[in-house]
Amino acid sequence: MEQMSRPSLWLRLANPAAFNTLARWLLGPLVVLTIAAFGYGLYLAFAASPADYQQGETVRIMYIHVPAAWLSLFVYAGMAVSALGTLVFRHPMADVAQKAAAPIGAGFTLICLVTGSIWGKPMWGTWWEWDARLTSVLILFLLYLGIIALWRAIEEPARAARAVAILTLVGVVNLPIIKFSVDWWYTLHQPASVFRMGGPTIHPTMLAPLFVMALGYLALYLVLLIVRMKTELLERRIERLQILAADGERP
Amino acid sequence: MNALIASLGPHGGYIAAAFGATGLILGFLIAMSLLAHRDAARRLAALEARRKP
Repeated sequence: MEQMSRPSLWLRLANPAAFNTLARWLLGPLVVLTIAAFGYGLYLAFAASPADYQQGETVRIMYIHVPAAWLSLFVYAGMAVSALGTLVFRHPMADVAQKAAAPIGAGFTLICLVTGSIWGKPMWGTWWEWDARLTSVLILFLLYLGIIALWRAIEEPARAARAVAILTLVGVVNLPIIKFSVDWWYTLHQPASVFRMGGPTIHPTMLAPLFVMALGYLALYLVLLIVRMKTELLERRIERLQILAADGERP
Repeated sequence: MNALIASLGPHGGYIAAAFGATGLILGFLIAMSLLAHRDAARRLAALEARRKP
C-alpha cells in the first residue's frame, strides 16, 4: 500500500492557518533575539570596540549604517523571490510576504541613506554626492516607494500582486549595480571591506559589533515581517467578510 | 547626555544624530506595524460579532 507523503513546508505554508501557527512559535524567540542582539551590539559598538585610526569615534556610525545597507538589499532580494512565487508558482502567501516586506525594506534603506549622509558630512565634507553608490541606493529607496504606491493604486489584489511582482523583478537589476558600483565607477564611497574576495579588511574587534548589530536588524526584520503578514491576512479576511455581508444584504 | 556626546569626540553630535535618526525610523516602523495589526484585529472582531446570530 502506498503511503501518502507529508506535504512540504512550502505547501503547508500556503495555508494561512499553518502560517499563523508557525508565526506564533517564532515570534517570541525572535523578539528576545532582537532585544538581546541590539543590546549586546550597542554595548560592543560603544564600549568594546576601538575608535578608528583615521575616522576616530565617527566609525561607530558604521555599526548602524552598514547592517541597514545589507538589510535593504536582503529584503529586496527576498521580495524578488516572493515575486517569483507570485508569478511562477502562484503561492498564496507570496504576495502577502511581498506586500508586508516593502515598507520594512524602505525603512532600512532610509536608515542607510540618512546615517550615510550624517557620516559623510564630517568625513567627506558633504551631506550628499551624486556618485554611483549613493545614487543607486536612492533608486532602491524610490523603487520601494513605487512598490508601496502600486499596491495602493490597484484595488483588485490579484492584479496588484502581479503588477508589483513585475516591477519588483525589473528592479532586481539595481542590486548588482549597488553592490559593484564602488568597483565599476570612481566613487567617494569606500570599496567593499567585509564581503570581498580575500576576506574582510576590518579588524575583528570592529567586525564583531557589526555582525551582532546585523543579527539584531535581521531578527527585527523577521519580527516585523511576521506581524505585517498576520495583519495583511486579517485585512483580507475583513474584506471577504465585508463582501459576504454586502451580498447578504442584497435583495 | 551632553557629556556622553562630548565623550564621543569632536563629531559626537553627528554620531548621536545618526543613532537618534535610526531609533526614530525603527520606532516608527515598529509602532506602525503594531498599531495596524491592533486596528485590523479590532475591526475583524467587530465584524465577526455582528455576523453572529
